[in-house]
Amino acid sequence: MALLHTNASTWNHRTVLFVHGIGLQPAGYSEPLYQILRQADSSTVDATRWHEVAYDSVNTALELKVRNLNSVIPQAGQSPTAKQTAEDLVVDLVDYLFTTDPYNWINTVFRKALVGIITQGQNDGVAVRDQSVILIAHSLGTVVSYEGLHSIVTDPQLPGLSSGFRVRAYLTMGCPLAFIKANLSRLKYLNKNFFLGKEPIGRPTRVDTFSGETQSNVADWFNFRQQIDPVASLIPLTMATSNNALSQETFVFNKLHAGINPHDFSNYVTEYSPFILQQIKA
Amino acid sequence: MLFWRPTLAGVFFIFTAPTLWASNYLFLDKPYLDLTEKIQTEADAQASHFLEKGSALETKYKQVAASLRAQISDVQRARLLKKLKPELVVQTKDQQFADNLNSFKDALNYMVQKSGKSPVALFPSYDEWQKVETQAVSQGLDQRLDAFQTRFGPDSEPVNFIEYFGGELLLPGTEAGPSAWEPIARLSPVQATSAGAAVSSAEAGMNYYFVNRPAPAPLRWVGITNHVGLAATLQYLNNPRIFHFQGRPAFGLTLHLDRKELGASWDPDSKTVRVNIGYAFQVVPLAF
Repeated sequence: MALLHTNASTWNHRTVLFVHGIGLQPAGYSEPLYQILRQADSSTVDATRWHEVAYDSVNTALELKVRNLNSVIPQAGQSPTAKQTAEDLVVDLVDYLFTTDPYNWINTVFRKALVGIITQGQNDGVAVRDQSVILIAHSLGTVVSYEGLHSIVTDPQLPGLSSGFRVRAYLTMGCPLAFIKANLSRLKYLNKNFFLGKEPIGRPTRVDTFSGETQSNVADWFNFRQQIDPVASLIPLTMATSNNALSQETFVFNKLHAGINPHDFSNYVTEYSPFILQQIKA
Repeated sequence: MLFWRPTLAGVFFIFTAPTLWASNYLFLDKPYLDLTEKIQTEADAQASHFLEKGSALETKYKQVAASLRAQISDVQRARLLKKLKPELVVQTKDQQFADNLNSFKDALNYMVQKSGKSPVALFPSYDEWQKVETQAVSQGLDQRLDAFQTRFGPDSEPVNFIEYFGGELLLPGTEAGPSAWEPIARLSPVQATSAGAAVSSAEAGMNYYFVNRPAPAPLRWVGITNHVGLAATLQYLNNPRIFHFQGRPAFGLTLHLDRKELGASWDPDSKTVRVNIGYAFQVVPLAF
């Protein structure tokens, strides 16, 4: 379902999973990101498996289902692009953040993508403990993955932590987690499962009932921010706002590699391709 | 984006959610339950090497193992009674079972860590067990995705703001899937009526979606696979026209059969029962 590219050479037991943000994101949306990384180091990229979470079908279904979401949108703009963007903003944000079913649906899509990665490895004789997953999330995708990782950590079955599943490197780019967290208290929302709403920002954890240790399913968490990216910069995610959940202070840069949009996913991937590849190889 | 925010903020402000977080679901089929019992036997054989006799950890392990074994037996027995196919994955919400399974896995991890060996070296069936577990979870997640598609996909009924947020407020789904129930509270713009060409109807009722199981065979035979519903209707049939709401009210009932609507109303003017048919195609935007 979420496979973008299987390994072209002998598998290094690494799998990269992209999680997209707001906007029209059909299957294959992360191909340009894959190509950016492949140009930088084809041997590492060819030995790695590449998956993506594509949850845009959920948003599309909701746009068709809830008539009024569409009927109020045209006021936001006349051009189809502006209309589409406004629809995505309303449907993606409102539905995901505030209502229960779309949130659970997208969480299920995320969970299924993780299980797909595990299954593919097992089919090649590689147990989950020997697989290494690098998760690269952008924009609302950082929230989707954050919520997804929190929701699975206590699962008694895979991909729960007690079954040995861990994300080795969690890379968040253009991340609005701190901004959303700071503003959630101003709104009442229906979704009481929302971890960001009910707990301080932090890594997903559970207590091992035998060792008594608090363990996380995220080994390392790195955050990246373009200096003028409004989504990530209004209230930036830092060591302080993440309650020291990040492995190190947020990486900040000011270049524009992909046109004038500082928030563009490919802007981040281009800037930090050496770091991403280093994480894959580690 | 700003234009809608005050309105939505107001809408959300009056809502409070009735549900609590639940994450204790299990996906169980017979092969997985059988292998879990097998792993338990293998773990029992290893426990004495890594858990000191009489220690708190040994006591805890024995409690967890006994409890888990009893729960598996119960589930196996229930499956037999229901004559479920062995490979059928059933989603179960069971806090105690989930906690015991987590604790049992913690115990396995503890023994593996103590031994410095791989899990398979201690428990020969471990990797097969994980593989079968992954298959069961994968099938279970597919069932959940199908349920969401049934409730919100293209075969479901379009809803308005009130129906959508009313459903999310009063009948929210869980991690396991959406609620089967969806409120109907709308102005159905066009219905053909035996009293004339077309009429608009106010409707209030409930739809039931087949999110947890396929539609019953008799419904499938007539092409109904997604949902059924029943709504009380209000129409004005003295001079039937679209969006005409004057005269003596005619009350009735309408069945929702997938997106088709079939109903009957008592016409107080002609003192006859009028038949209505419609389709939730929604060319005309809904009233709300």
